[in-house]
Amino acid sequence: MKRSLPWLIAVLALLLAAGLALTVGPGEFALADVLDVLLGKLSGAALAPMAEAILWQLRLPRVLLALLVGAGLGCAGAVTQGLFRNPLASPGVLGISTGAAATVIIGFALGVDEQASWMTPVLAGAGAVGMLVLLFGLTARRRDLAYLLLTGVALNALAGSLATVTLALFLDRYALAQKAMAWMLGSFDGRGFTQLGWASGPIVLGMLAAWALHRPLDLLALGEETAATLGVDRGRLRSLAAVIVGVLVGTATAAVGVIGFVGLIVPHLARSLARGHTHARLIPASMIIGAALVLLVDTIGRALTPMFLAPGALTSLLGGVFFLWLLRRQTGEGV
Amino acid sequence: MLRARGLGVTVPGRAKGRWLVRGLELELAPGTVTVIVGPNGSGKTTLLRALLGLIGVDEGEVLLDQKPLRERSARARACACAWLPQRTELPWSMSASDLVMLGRAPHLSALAGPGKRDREAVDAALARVRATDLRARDVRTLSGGELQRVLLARLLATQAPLLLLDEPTTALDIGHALGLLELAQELAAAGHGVLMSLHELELARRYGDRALLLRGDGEGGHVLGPAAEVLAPALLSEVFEVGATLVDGQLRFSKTPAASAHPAPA
Repeated sequence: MKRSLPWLIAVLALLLAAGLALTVGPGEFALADVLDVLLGKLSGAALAPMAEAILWQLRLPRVLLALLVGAGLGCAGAVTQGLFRNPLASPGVLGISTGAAATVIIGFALGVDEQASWMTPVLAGAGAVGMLVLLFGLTARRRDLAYLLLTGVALNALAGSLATVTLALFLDRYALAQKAMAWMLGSFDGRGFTQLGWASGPIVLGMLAAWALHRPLDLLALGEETAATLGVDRGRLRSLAAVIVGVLVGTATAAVGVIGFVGLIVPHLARSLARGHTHARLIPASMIIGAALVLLVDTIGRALTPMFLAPGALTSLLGGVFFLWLLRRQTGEGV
Repeated sequence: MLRARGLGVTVPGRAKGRWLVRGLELELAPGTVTVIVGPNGSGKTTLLRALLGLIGVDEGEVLLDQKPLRERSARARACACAWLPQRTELPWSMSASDLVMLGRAPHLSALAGPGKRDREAVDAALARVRATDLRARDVRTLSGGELQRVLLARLLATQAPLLLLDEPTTALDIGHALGLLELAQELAAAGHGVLMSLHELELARRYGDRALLLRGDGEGGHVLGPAAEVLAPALLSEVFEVGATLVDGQLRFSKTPAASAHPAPA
């Protein structure tokens, strides 16, 4: 009980924050109205059509999607850092997110995303896994921090330019450019139950699978070979983790676009809150904090309407500053 | 127990044909300290890694309880042999007791957390290396000597009968080095089989029961025997190309190559 209490408080705080987030925006709704609508909907009572349309149809799926995507990205960040034994690694920094974005934009350009709703998430997942495979291949000989980060920077640029070149080739198709741009920025605008429907399965499964890897990820702290002498199958861990990160980042990116740096910031906050580096605690803590962060960013964006502030742009802004601070601190320690 | 039969290992990654060790017959039994010595690059670390199954062997085989190592499960290997690498760089902060708990991994199921028995094993391991008072400390704030003791406790928490240590004293000052070697001796007396590579020949002679000297000649030449016999002046001066003498039961070295070991006229 003593141990589960902080978790309980964290989850309740997150739910309260989500409830409050539902009240933000046009229309005068208080927390009580939100509860009325939710309870009324669940019990099948008749509701005021306006309240139902705004709260249930528009805001609820959006808030749930923000929570889901945030939890998934936070979790992917914790797994990536554990896997590369590196507090500066994250799907964003290593180009994994950009890889997912590039394949999706190529998919847009070729029009394959219109063939089936699962096409975009599958493309994004393939892009993310592809980047991880490249990263492993290119860093197989040297595993030090600088080399890993530089490889990530190069891959990030490569994937980014691939997306740009694709867009340039189809510059005459204005609708495509607009669609790609809106998607690239990372936004929850216009996302609803449809995205929530296909994204929740893979993200929840991915997070459960990530948690199941908590012990081998812990052991990696001792170094890859020492972990192997404690029973970790390095090759298997790597492929499993790559698939999990691919599924999480791919699905999240396909659903809402690129939300950068969540995977970098969140595990750090989680590490100080979860006290210590046990992935059994770090992974769930990253999910909760990730969900809270993306919810916060999206809610700020909505509160500032009609000014358009894409959540992806906001997290990149925050994340960029955070990354510089982290880099200074890490190199200050002589890593 | 761990046994090398006709073991041959070449330089990893480079052109084949340069043997680090060849035709090695080595048995690791509980209760003894075996030291591996040899010039830089003679393959001490590579041999340890081959014995652990971290790299493949080029000839012969490694047997764990009469069965080839690669036929054993990772868990069975982990429960039999614990390894302390030359350097451990820890990417994150964690408490010393959390680090030692990592050694319990081979005994835990994939999802269940550690239980009472595991916590007792961690406490016992920390007490064994006299590091109980460090248990709550962040491992990244420990001194080299303290960290090495906590890392050794991680091996003990696994309760593996065989301990393979790769130059465990390299980063330590002489006081901590002697403390660690005495600990290794105590652990062997308590029933562990200890195999460690060492840089300091005098320490190897003093703390080893048996010694394996790798010649580093590219042919895989080596000598295995009681420490006092293997770590004798004649052999050492030949392999390390220095002058070596035994004074009052202690090894003394001089830069003079073995060939010109004739004393200069006084």
